Amino acid sequence: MVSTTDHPLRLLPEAGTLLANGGEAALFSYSLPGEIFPEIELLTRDELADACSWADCIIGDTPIDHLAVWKSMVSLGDHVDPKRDIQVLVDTPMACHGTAECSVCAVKTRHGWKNACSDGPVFQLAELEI
Amino acid sequence: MDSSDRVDLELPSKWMNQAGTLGFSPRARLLPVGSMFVTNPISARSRVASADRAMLTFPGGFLLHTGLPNPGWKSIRRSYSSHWEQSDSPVWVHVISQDPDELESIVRDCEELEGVSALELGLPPACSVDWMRQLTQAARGEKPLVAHISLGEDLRLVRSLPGFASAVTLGTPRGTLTTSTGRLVHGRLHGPGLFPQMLDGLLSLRGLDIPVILGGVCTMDDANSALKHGAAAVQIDMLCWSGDLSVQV
Repeated sequence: MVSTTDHPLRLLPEAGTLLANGGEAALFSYSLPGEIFPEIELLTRDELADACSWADCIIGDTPIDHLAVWKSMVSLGDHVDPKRDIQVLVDTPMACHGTAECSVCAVKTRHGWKNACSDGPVFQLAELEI
Repeated sequence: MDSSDRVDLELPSKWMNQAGTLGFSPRARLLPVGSMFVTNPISARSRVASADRAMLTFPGGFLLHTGLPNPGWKSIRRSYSSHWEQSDSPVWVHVISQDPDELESIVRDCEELEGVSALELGLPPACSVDWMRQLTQAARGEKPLVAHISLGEDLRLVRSLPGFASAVTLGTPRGTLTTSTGRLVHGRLHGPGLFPQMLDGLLSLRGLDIPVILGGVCTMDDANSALKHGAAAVQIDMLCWSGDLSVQV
């Protein structure tokens, strides 16, 4: 899990599921939550690249303006292997929550513009055009 | 204004949404029963979201900058004309094309569409009288033409509207804010904090011989105040998004 927002707690339910199924989870976050499962390993910035290279799945969140930075942190280069399961929750303002199709939360993907409020806010990293 | 060619505008309700607040389909039924429905702004060609899109709050409201993305008139007509035909709400199509030929083409199309009861023409920022006359002339058709002007624009433009214009809507103003990184963002302002200026704008349009519809209304008190002081109807702003409008009205 790689969080660059102030809300890493929203990633933890996914980790809980993983741990319950016998998996292992690690977290890198700019902002550490107060309570966290003791089974979750906390990563430093120096350990992140190595962890991302062996992880079966990477999930995380980032402000929409920092998508490129988040991508560089987790993908070990410009190219994102589409076979890798890398999911990112795009943190963006949502004005109308879908009622107006206002698109202030629009995200550019390989299949055109998608609204985070109705089509996300979690996207496969390989799907995003950053 | 010579009103001999004016198509009368029917206002079966004093309630409608402001363009940009409820999308393109009246099916969501977020408005009170019997209200009119105004589509999101529609251009002749598709528009994508602005690269610097943003929503920024300020005391009393927020600034929204989206670039008015929409898939363009032909796509919207294909996707939503059946919604408009089947709608209980009279539909106003809000057009923002600045090409007179394209605008005229949209108007002709709308004349064929059941359910569309009026066209609302969004006048561009800093629109001159000559440009306004070209656009309104292109938008002239068999259905009522409602000119939409934003507060903050030169409201003398309204008094120069051609006689065939059926009504005018006064929309919320544009403004500018800075992001946390200091970037300037220009966009449309929304929120209850704008109402004193909106009401002032309404009062400045007293004496027009066409209905004036006030946008940017966010509370029942403001709606009643606007209606009491000359608005023929009100356009509900972000209140549409709270989902409890029907309870309040």
